[in-house]
Amino acid sequence: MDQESELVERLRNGEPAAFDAVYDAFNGRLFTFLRRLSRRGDVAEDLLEETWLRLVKHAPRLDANTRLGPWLFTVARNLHVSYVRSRVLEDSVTGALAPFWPSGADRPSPFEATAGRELERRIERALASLPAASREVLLLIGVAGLDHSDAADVCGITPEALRQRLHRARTLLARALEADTRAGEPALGDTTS
Amino acid sequence: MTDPLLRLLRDLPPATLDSSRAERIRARCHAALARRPHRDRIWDSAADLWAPIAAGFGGIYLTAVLREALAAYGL
Repeated sequence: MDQESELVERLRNGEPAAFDAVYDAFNGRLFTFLRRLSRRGDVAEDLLEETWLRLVKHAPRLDANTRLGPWLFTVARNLHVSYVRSRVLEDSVTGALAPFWPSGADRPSPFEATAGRELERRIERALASLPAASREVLLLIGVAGLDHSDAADVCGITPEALRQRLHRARTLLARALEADTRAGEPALGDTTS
Repeated sequence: MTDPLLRLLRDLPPATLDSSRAERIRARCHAALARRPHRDRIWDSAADLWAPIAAGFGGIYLTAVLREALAAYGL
């Protein structure tokens, strides 16, 4: 029995120490994923808490071969999808048809404001401006460190579809970074006056 | 990871969760874990009882059918 299977077995038995080991290993990565995916700290915290509660609830029924990383990211990602759907419904009911996600390019989010370096701020802005599906795949692979196969499982798509989505996301990110760079350059009139 | 764009993403600083919130989440999960065995025992007991109860009702039903059938033939 490998280390992860043993951890899963202990989780199934409800051992708090096993939960702590999983929590310590994944909490930071999960929060970073949810924080950048949702672009809101309060939402990310709520989704994170629900993700861990789901693990506790489903622990007795976990398969012995469950890989905890992909399992947790799948739950976190699905909770975010549900959250977005509920917000879209809420917005349509209230008639508030403003864009659901504010554009990070116009107004820096609190998260961007805390990013210390200019390059980090630019990447955060570019990432925040991408469609959720593109941001999600970049975060899973680039930030959370999942391999392509696991990321495809998390997104519920085939590895080939993931490869295409990643390629598209990468192109969009590069374009957004270029646009951000151009926007940051002084206008021609400023330099000649 | 050789892709320069993905490397940029990897090098972003991790988001930091407020430590009090992190501990609250942990405590809530521990509490849920502590509650779980009792509830699971109840469900296990219910699952254990289900088969004999079903067998009992089945037996009663078959006995009644048999009696009706015998009565119909005047036996």
